[in-house]
Amino acid sequence: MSVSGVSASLTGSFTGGRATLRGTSGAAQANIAAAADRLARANTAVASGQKIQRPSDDVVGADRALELRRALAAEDRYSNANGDAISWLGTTDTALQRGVSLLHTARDLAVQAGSDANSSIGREAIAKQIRTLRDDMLATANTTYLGRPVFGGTTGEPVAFSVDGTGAVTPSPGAGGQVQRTLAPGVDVRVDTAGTAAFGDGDASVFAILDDLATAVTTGSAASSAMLGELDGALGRLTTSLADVGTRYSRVQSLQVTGTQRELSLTSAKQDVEEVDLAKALMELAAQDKAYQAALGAAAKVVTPSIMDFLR
Amino acid sequence: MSSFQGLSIALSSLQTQRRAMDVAGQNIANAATPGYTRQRVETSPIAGPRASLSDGVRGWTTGSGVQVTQVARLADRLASSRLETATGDAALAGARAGVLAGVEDDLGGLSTMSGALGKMYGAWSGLAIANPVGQTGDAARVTVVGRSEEVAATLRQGAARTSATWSDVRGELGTLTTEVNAIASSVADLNRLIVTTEGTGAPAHELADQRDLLVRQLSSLVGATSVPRDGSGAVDVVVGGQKLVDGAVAGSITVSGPTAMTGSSTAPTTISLAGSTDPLAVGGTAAGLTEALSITLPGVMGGWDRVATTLADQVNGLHGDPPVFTATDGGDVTAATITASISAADVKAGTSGTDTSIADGVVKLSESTTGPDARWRTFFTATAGAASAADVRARATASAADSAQGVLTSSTGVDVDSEMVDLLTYQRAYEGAARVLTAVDQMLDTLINRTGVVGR
Repeated sequence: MSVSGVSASLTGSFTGGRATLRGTSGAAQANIAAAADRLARANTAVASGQKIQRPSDDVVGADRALELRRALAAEDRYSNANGDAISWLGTTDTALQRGVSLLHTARDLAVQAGSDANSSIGREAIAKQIRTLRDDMLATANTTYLGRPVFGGTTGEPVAFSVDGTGAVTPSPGAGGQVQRTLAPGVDVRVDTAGTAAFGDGDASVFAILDDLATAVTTGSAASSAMLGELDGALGRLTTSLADVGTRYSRVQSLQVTGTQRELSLTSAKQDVEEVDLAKALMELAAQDKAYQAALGAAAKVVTPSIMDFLR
Repeated sequence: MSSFQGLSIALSSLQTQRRAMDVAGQNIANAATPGYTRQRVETSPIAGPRASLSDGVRGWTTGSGVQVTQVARLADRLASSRLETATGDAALAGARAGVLAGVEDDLGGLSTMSGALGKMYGAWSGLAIANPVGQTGDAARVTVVGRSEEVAATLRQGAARTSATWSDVRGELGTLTTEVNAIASSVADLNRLIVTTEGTGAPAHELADQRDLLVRQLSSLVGATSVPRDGSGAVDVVVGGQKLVDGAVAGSITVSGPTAMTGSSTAPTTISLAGSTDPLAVGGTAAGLTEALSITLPGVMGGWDRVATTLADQVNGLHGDPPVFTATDGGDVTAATITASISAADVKAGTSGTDTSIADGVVKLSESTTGPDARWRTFFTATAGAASAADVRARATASAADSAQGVLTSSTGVDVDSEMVDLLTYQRAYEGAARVLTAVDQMLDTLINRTGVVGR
């Protein structure tokens, strides 16, 4: 590389006093070269469409461009995370609605079992139905998205609730952790739902309640009716979680809209900083072309005449 | 008074006008020669012989014609030394701008580094979104390693380019030294020739022009200035207060310092006169190059290193054992050695289970004001700013040098029109002298051949 190659013809040179042959032609050359340099710059701006050919052309602009590029890359991530959050919450919402509908069915069965008209065979059949509902409820609570249990927090297990040998349902280890998505600068939204909050914990869990209900149904009508209160409590927990998920879902959706708007404004700001205004650049090109022609014309006029033309 | 004095007056004029026309011709011939200084014939009348009483022409005598007193070289000492200084300044600023423009190119524009960092954060973000314990997580881990290595490779490339630029500049400084020493000995030779030629009474103007051009090259290369020696046409060439050329004796310069870059702690490079160990305060291109080798390029390497160490420290700090970024040579991480050595299976998204706190933490580095992005932005903007300032300075000094050249050309260059007018004047004077010769001849003819035959 040549490091000492700074053009000597960056500006028109000075010719004062006597008009010497080398002085005049040197100045004309320098002026032409300077005009050609400006013309070449204008041409590059039009051809490349880029305002900043080198960062040193516009240091402040380059700095802003760097920041805008970083912000745009972040928007890309927010947009990905947003789609992911919507899927998480959508999956959770569907699961919770199914849970609510399962509990409604269980409640209907409990009411039915509260009648003395049921035979013991009928009660056994109802109890069996309720046990199936409990299994369905467990499957619902273990709903997964991309292989991760949506009610399992940050557990490494494939399920949110596991059943041990005695049939007792316990939350998986690590289920207490929260899954967060960053959806906008400084905005983290939780996308998982605590399994214990939605389905209850230990003896108060919806699984234990359904187990108890199945036992109560076989016991008799009074015992069955007594379970209605606990069923309503479990239903309340599910619908509260459902409302919570719904709120977060709509928040994520509105963040998606503002994210799209932000991305648009960042893109347009980046264009403003980095890209040339074509009309302006073309005007500049035309002006520099004129200036170049003028420099050539002036040089031709200045260098040509001498006293020789008049000595005959 | 001799009857033939008219003839010798006419002859002195013929000779003088011919000499004057020769000089005008030389000026016109060199109108376009770079570095030529116009010459002018200086004439004076020759006083007549002392009148003697026997002449019988008491009281008045005529002069004996015209003579050339000297052919003057119309040098402009002030303009010439101004040009030497301006040339040195312009060369220094030009070299500085050239180095910084190269460094700026090595940054890889707006997109290279920040693009690689953005992709790396995207990969970590992808790992957080994917199931860290499932198959999607495995794919995301491979991406994280790949993108991290891309960032490391960009840093290594930046460091390697900076080292290569350093070596290029070092090579150029070596070439420059050889050139300076060769020119210095030419200047000394010319000084000797000028003194010898002038000793015989003949002018050595063309040799002086040639030497001044060479001195100006030295001004550009090492910021030399010339100081005329008393009583002779020779000059001394002074660099940083010391004589590089002392009359007919040429000194030489040598470069001392490291021959390869050793990161941001590279020892300074200096130039000294042969036979001395004291660093010489050079100017011109040499000053720009030594500055680049001693300060600018090690500083740039430091900038690359800061980005690399910040990245490695912060990502490794979040990730824990094993580290994501290590040095290829097993030592401390620098821009030249950084690599993403971790195997994909060891990449952790979080502390346990499907926790993604590590991945989330790494992604948040992109927003941090002390993170790798912020460091890169600071380095990038500072370098671009320095390049921009150096460019402005280079343009300003180049313009000043052009202007100084213009002043010198305007005072010492050849104006063909005025030379033509001079030529016409001398031509007419020559014709006049020839006419005088004819008149005197006719008069003598009358005197010698027609005496005694008048009225016959």
